[in-house]
Amino acid sequence: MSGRSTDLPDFGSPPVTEVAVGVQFNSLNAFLAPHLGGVWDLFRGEFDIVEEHVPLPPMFETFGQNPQLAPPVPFQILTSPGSPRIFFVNSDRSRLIQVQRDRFVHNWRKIGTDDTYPRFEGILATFRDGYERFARHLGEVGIGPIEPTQCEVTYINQIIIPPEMSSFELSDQMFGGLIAKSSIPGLGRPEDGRFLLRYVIRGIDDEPLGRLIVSSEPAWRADGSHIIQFVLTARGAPKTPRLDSVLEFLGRGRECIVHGFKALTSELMHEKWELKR
Amino acid sequence: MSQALQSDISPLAVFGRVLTDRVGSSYPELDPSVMNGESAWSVMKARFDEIENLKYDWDHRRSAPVPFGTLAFARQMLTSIMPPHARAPAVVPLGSGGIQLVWRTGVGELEIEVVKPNRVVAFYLDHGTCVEQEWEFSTNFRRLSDILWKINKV
Repeated sequence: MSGRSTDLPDFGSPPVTEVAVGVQFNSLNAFLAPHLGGVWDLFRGEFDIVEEHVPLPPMFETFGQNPQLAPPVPFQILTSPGSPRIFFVNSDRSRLIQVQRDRFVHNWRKIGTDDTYPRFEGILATFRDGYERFARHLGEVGIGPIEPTQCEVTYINQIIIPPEMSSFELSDQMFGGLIAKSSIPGLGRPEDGRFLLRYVIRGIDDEPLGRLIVSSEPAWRADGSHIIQFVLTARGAPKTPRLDSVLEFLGRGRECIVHGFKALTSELMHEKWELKR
Repeated sequence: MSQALQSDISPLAVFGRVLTDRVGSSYPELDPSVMNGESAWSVMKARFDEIENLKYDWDHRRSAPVPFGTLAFARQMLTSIMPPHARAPAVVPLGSGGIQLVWRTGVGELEIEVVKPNRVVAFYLDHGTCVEQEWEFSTNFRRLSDILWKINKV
C-alpha cells in the first residue's frame, strides 16, 4: 500500500481540493460522549481544534436486481441520539480526523491556493495510523473491537469557471464527448447541467465489491467563485473486518477513482492538469 | 445556500465529506411527482419506525434493541431486491438485535434474517417443489431478488 502503482495515471497539478478516507463499522453502543475525551488525547498535539457536528447516517452498498436508488418513500434511519460526530482539526485546518459511534474518517483539504495535494499514500498513512490508535484505545477501555462494514474514498475536485465561460461550456470542455449531444432545436445548448454515474467495482471472481459514484455539478464556494464540483467516491464492504482488508479496498477504490478521473475528462484538461502518464 | 438545497444531492452523500458545507448546489429542489404514493414502502417504513424505537428488554425477555446500522442495512438491502409490485414483508425484530423479513405467497416462503450489516441468512421453501434452501449473504443479494420476483409474480 505504500508505493504508487506505476500504471496509475499521474497528474502534476490535479484540481483536487479534498480527499476523505474512511471506514464505517458496527455501532459501538458503549461509546458515549465522555469517551471522546480519551479519543481526543490520542490526537491532541497534532489535531488540537475540536468541533462538534451532526452525525452521519449509516450508508451501505448492496446489490440486487434494482439500481441503488433511494426508496420511493422517504425512509431515513436516524443515527442514535446524543452521539455527535467530532472533528479533531490541525492548526492550519488542512487535515482532520472525524470520529463518531460508527465512523472513523481522515480528511485532507486544500485551504490556501498554494497548498499542494499531499498524495494519497500520505493521506492513507495518516488514516492508518489514526485508525490503529483509535481501535487499540477502544480495546483498552473495553468498548471495542471495531468491526468495519464499509470503506470509502472520496476525491472532491473544484474547477473554477472562468468569467468568460458558462458552467456548461466548462463542463463541455472538461468532459468532452460525455455530454456532446445536448443541443435542442430552438433552444440551443443547456444553460448548465449535472450528472451522476454509478459503476460496480468487481473482484476477480466478478462478485460486486462496491461502487464508484461520479458526479459533476455547478456550484459556488463561500468565497463567491463559481465552480464545477467533480466528485468521485468509491465505497464498498471490506472482504473481512481486518485492517488489511480495509486498506485493500481503499487502495482499490482509489485506483478506480484515478482511472475514472482520467477516462471521463478531456485531453485538453489533462494538459492543463499536467498529466504525466 | 440552504441545507435543504444541498440535500438535493443526497444520493451522493459520502461519509467523509466536510467541505460540502462550503458549497451550494445551484439547483432548486422541486419534486412535483405524485407517482410514489402509498406502497409496500409506506408499510415498511411505519414498521421500521416502530422497531427503531425499541429499547433494551422491549419484550421483557432481555432482548436487545435493533441497532440503527442493522436497520439501515436492511433498508438498503430491500431497495436492492424489492420488485416494484411486491407486497411488504412481515418485519419482525429479533431478540439478538437482528431483524427478520418474511414473505409468504402461493409460490413459496422466503425468510431473510439480517443478523447485522454484511451478515444475512435466508431460507426459502418452494411450494411447487417442496425444496427448502438456505444461504448466507454479505452484500450481494441477487439470488434473493430473483426469488422475490418469482414469488411476487403478478
